[in-house]
Formats: sequence, structure tokens, C-alpha cells
Amino acid sequence: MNEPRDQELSRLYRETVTLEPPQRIDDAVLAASRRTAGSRPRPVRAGLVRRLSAPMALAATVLLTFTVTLMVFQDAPEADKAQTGMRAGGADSRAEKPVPAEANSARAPQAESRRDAPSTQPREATDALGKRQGLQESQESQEPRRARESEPTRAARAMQAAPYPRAGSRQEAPSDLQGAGVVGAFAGRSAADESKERSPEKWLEDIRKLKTQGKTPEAERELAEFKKRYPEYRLPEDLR
Amino acid sequence: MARESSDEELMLRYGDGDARAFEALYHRHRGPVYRFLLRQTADSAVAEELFQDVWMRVVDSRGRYEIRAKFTSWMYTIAHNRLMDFYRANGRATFLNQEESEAALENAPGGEIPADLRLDGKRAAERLLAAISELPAAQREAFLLQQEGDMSLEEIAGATGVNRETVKSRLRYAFAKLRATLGKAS
Repeated sequence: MNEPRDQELSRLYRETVTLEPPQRIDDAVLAASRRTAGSRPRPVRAGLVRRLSAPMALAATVLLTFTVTLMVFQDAPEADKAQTGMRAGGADSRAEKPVPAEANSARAPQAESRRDAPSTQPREATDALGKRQGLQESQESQEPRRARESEPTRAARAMQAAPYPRAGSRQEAPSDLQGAGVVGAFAGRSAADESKERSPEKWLEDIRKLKTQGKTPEAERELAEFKKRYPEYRLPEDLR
Repeated sequence: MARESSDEELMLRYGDGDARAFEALYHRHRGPVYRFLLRQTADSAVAEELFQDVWMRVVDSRGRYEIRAKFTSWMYTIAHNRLMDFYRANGRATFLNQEESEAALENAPGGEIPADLRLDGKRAAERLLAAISELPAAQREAFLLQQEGDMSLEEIAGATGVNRETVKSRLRYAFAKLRATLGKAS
């Protein structure tokens, strides 16, 4: 090793080693050491936790991502189905979309002059109605969820969809193309069945038709049924 | 007879919450550390303050302590650093630049310790302590670490942040000067 060490000096020095720290210093240091020993566990374990925390966090992130991805893919077919339903529902709602009051009032003179110069609008309306009915049928078969809906819910939805007629504006009677065949078919069904399929506007139009055809008792009965079903609905003046 | 636990084992046990392990460790090293600091500062109040501070750092480091070196090397490194802070705070930073040339060592007075001084242990001890206090701080530190800390050249080098040869040189200067002082004194 060749370390310089002076044995004689070391021996002499050992004779000087009598000095020691005062008792109060000993007490202070030992008290501090006892306090610290009892205060917390050895942080080497904490160091282990610290070392493992990054991999653990990464693993948790990967697991979470995987789970979310799996859930998304599992829900995808249902989402597609729901989207299809929504598309159909969208068409439905478009068909059911209430005509704005402004449009109603704007259309009013047009409807009055319809007999003189029939426009394509009634036909379009009829087509829309037919589409709507077809969509309703298909929806009823495709969407069991909707079929499960309670009557009050559907009625409430119909109420929402149906605009309250503006005071003074006249709800137009159904077009000529809807004619007697429609009414006849209507007359053959029960009011309850009709109410399930018809919108309030359509129902009112049918009642008007009955009145026009002189079937007053039937019209009144339908009207009573209507009022019972839609007590909050503000009836047009001609049916009040 | 049970084997006496090493310093490192005691420190690890203290890290696990064994306060008695620290007591054993403290009683083993309290004297040497205190004397090292007292000889270096020549002021008992300062030495006590530094001593307490060194041990508090040991206490606070119990959770971070890992066996990378001897416990004494680690502890005296703390003591050395505290001394450096003290020197800097008191404008004695020249401690760091107190190397002497090899030529100066060749010319350093050596000599035998007088026979009468060898016989009078108490007087010899007093003379030696006086001679130690006159050493340059770096040489004194190397000497004290060897005597009080029972440290090797490498361990002293590690604790004081210099290379082995520098420590070796410091020790040789220290021995020569101590012998010369003791010889003159007789």
C-alpha cells in the first residue's frame, strides 16, 4: 500500500484523545435521532415505490386506453344501429317537423286559392305524409325501444312536435288528394288506434273533414276524444 | 459471542427505525468526530455547533443512506463539507490552496522525538497538540482523518475531494512538521 503512517506520532496522538462532546450535545442528537426514527418509515421503500411509479402509471394508461378502445368497438354496432334509427328518426322528425306559424300564415292564401290553381304543394304534402307513415311503420318494426315507450311519452312528444296554432290563423283542411278514401279508412278504425298514428294536426284535419261531410256526431265524438287526449292543445277557432 | 455490527449495518437498521442502532453508531464515533472538528476549528463552541450539525445531517439522511462506501467516509465527507462552509463564511477559504511543493518537502526539517518527551506522555501529548494546531489546515485535516477516522489514503481523498497523491503528500508534510516541532520543543 505504501501509505505514510507514523506509528510513533500515532501512539503519541492516542494519548491526547480524551476530549469528548458535552453531554447536552449527546442528549440533543440522540433525542433528535429517536424522534426521527419513530416518525416515518424508511424511505428506501418509498424509493422503491418511486421507482415503480412510472411503470405502474404507464401500465395503467395502457390498460385504460385498451379498455376504452374495446368499449368503443363493442358499442360500435349499437351506435350504427342507433345512428340508422336517428337517421330514420331525423326523416320522421323532418316529416313531423311543425310548419312554422309564419309559413302557415303565408300558406293560408295559397291554400285558399288552391282549388282554382292547384299547386304541387298538396301532392308534396301527401307524399311527405305517405313517407312519414311508411317511416313510422318501419320505425315501429326497427326500433323496439321506441315501441316500448309509454303512450304518455309519445303523446308528450307529439305535443312538443305540434305547434299551437296561432290565434287567427286557420289550420288548413287536408288537401283534396287526401279525400274520401282516407277518411273512410279513418272511419273504420278506432279512435285509439288513430290517435297512436296520427298527429294532432292530422286528427284535426280529419275532424274537419267529417264536419264538411256532414258527419257531425262522429266529428263531435272525435273532437271529444281529441280533447280528452290532448287537453292542453289549443283548438283552432273553427273547431272550438 | 455475537459479532459486532458494522457501521453500515447499524445505519441501515436505523433507517428501518431502530433508534438503538443509531445510539450504538453515535457512541462509536462521537469522540473522533468531535475531536476532528475541535482540532480543525480550535474553537469548542464552533466545534460543538458543527458536530451537532453533522450528526443531524446523518439523522436526516437515514432514509437515503445506501452502502456505497464506508460509513466513516460518508460521515467525514459531511464533516469536511461543513468545515468548508465554515471556512468560507469566515474568510478562510485559502484552506483549499495550501499545497506545498515536493522541493519544500525535501527541505522540511525532520527528526527524532526527544527521549525525555517520549517518557513524559502528558507533556508529549500537549506538545503534539500544539504542533497539530500549527499545521496548515489541509495537512492537519489529512492527519486527523487518518488518526481519528482511521481512514486510508483513498478514503481521505474521497472525503476531501482531492486525489490520493495529494493526500499522501499532505500526510508526509504533516509528519515532518510535527516531528520537527516536537524536536525543537524538547
